[in-house]
Amino acid sequence: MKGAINPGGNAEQLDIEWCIRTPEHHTFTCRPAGPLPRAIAWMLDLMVRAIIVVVLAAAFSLMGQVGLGFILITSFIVIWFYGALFEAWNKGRTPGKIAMRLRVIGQDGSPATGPSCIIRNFLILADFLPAGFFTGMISMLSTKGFRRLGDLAAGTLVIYEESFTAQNVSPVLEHEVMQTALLLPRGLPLRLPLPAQRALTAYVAKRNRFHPSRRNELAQPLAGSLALYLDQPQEVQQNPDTFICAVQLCACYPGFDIETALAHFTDSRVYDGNEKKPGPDAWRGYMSTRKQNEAFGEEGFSPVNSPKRWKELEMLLSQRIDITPPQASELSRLTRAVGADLALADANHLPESATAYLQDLVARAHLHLYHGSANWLRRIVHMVVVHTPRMLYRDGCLRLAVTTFFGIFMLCMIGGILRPGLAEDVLGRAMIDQMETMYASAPRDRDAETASLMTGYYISHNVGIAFACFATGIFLGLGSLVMLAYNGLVLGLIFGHMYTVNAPINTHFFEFVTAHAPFELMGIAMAGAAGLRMGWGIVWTEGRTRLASLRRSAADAVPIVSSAGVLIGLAAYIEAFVSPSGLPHAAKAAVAIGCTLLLIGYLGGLGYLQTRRRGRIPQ
Amino acid sequence: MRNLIVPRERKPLECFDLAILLCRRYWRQLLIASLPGLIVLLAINLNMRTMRHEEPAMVAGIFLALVVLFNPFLSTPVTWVLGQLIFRRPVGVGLFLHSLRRSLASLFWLGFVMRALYLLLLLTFVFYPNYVIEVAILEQQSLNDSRRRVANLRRVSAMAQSNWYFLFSLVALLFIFLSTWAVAEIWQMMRYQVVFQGGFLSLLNPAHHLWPALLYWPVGVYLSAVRFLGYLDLRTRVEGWAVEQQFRTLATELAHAPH
Repeated sequence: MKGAINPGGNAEQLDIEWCIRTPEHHTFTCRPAGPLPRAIAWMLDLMVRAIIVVVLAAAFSLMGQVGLGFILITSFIVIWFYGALFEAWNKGRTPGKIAMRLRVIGQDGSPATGPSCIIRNFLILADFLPAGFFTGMISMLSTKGFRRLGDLAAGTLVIYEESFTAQNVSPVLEHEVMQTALLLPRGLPLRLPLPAQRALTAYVAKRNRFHPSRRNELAQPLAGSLALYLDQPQEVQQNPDTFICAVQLCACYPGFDIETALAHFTDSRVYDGNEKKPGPDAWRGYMSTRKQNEAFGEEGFSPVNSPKRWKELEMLLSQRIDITPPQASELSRLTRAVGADLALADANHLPESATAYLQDLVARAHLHLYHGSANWLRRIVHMVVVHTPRMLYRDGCLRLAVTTFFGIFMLCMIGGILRPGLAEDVLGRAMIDQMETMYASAPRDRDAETASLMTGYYISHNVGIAFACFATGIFLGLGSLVMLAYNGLVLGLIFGHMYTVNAPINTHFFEFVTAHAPFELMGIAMAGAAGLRMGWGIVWTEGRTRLASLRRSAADAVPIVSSAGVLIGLAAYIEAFVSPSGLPHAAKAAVAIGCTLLLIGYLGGLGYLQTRRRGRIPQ
Repeated sequence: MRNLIVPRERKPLECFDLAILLCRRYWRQLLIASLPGLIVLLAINLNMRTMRHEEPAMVAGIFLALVVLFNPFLSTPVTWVLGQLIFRRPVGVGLFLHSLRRSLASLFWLGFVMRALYLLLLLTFVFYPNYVIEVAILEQQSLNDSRRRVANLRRVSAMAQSNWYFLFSLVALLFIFLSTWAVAEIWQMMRYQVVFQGGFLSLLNPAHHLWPALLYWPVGVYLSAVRFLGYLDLRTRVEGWAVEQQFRTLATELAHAPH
């Protein structure tokens, strides 16, 4: 059974790499991080979140009931927005990612934008389903670049942050090496192929880490071939390590005057009692008498030397403050120049340390250069006033979501009215009892403290439901439909049952829910519509790849789900302060009518105006 | 001929990522190779049924210890297959058995006896030379071979380094065991409430033992791949394996190049 497994002799080599091509036609690679480092970063973030919540809870608990409301709101913000906020404002890094040296970037190498950070962090809920991050893990294990659903939808990538320093590779200037180098023929840089020069330089850079015996073992196979290739006698390579270092010295440092250096080396020997040996400062002394630049050149581009522009770019990138316009121009010029150096380094097979450093430098410059503009307030206003109503005007996904949610809501409500036991059969006696007990007494005037507490509760609970409606939409939109149907069913049955129960429970119930219902119910429907839009992108691709289509539809869904979040937040305030107040039912109904008119005005009127002015957004 | 993986120094966590790519591409070969390990795991499970009247915690502890002890049955053939794949040199079963026969004594003493002793001392992951399988199988020479290369001497050998991947293996095993136990308990409660309104699903039910074994099967393969890549990474760092590969390729090219 010889050769039972065919490993594929000419197959491509495996490595964790993500190749990025910039608009300037520079190509660099980064290394996507797998599940384990990301899981560790996530756990660290979880700890940070817990600490934040505990500290804030300790501070707010001094404020009584109001403080409890603040605790609920801050917990909600920390749970849902921690990742998105940190990644959007800290260049793709949360504290956990900083500790693990990870970073979120766009899949094209550009910085992660605010919307993409929001999408990938909201969709973590879908990645978590059905339990234990199962879907996310399957996605990470099966996609290139270890991307979970959130990353696929947002077009992002989590990479290892690597830091390299430009190190000039110093030649080995031992006495034996220089003596061997004198015996080698001239013109080695021309005779020795560039890959060979690169390999020799890589060896010289690392050789000090190996045991002397191991160095000879490593150098042995190449030394023999090199001696034959350079027509050298076999005696020259008695010590393979020395021979390799000598060839590297001659091939990679053609301007280096070996004879002068050797003479200086010999002069600086010190008497140690028995014989003269090179002093510890022999090389340093030589370098002080001759300028290093004279020996190796400064601006020259060689396998062993780093040009000045690399340092300049590195200094520019290390600035913490925003760069000035002249600096931006300089950054652009240096990025182009270093990108060209990277291409040269690849073509000339420079040592791995040099190319890795240049890759890192170009990647950092690219991130810096293409960082988004800071005019975020204007963009938010544009999104709220222009983009979202224009997008939602006569939107098919919104229609489907509204039909599903309100249709099932109405059907279940009618069913609950016509068949009084239905709600109890479906929802269970315990839930019905709880609802009836809750509304047994009249909605009384809550004090400000209790109202604050309830606001926090309503926001965290209701916005959580809305985000779940959105996130589950990634499963071809079916998740959103199921969530909408489920919420419609539960709410409809409760409304139907409450209609049939005796007064004053039913009166109290409808008096309480009237004011905040329009914003809350429409918010849930809009979040579902955002999820449907995202899922629809996978099905209806319009000629794009499914992944590209998903990214586009997810980006389109962000303004909608944000608007839904705002609506539900407003509903929570009405629910906490207006609904339980002692206002007459007519006043609460007026609030509800006002909210409904606002919604019609925003979605219908403003949507119509913006569509007429700017044209309809393709669905 | 180039290796399957790019020889370079990696971060320790990168070995875990690269192992995913390796397992993803060759999952069928690796799972088949690890079948002997699965059979051993199932045999352990079957024997554990005889201990049904013992303390569950003790049974769990013995199960864990036996699985760790008999892990070489899973990792040895997986390492062999990985060696074939990564070095792109198909080795026949005959050569593998020949190599195995020569290293059998080392494998027995270091893979089983020493592992059992270290397990008792709970020091396995720090001091135990866990790369014995990789060295014994891949280097295709016995550890008692008198014609040692410098790379195999302890002072420069990757084999002499501590192996933290073994700790991950233990943690993974413990996690799988506890999580399957928890899932089974939850399932029991659900069955109690939803389906049977009664009944009892014992910890020593065969189904319980089947789950950890089946779950550990792919995880064990993955961890073997991680350990193998960790070994290669150590060789790259400590012994300059990447340089060795590069020099060998270059020597072959120069030997055939016109002067």
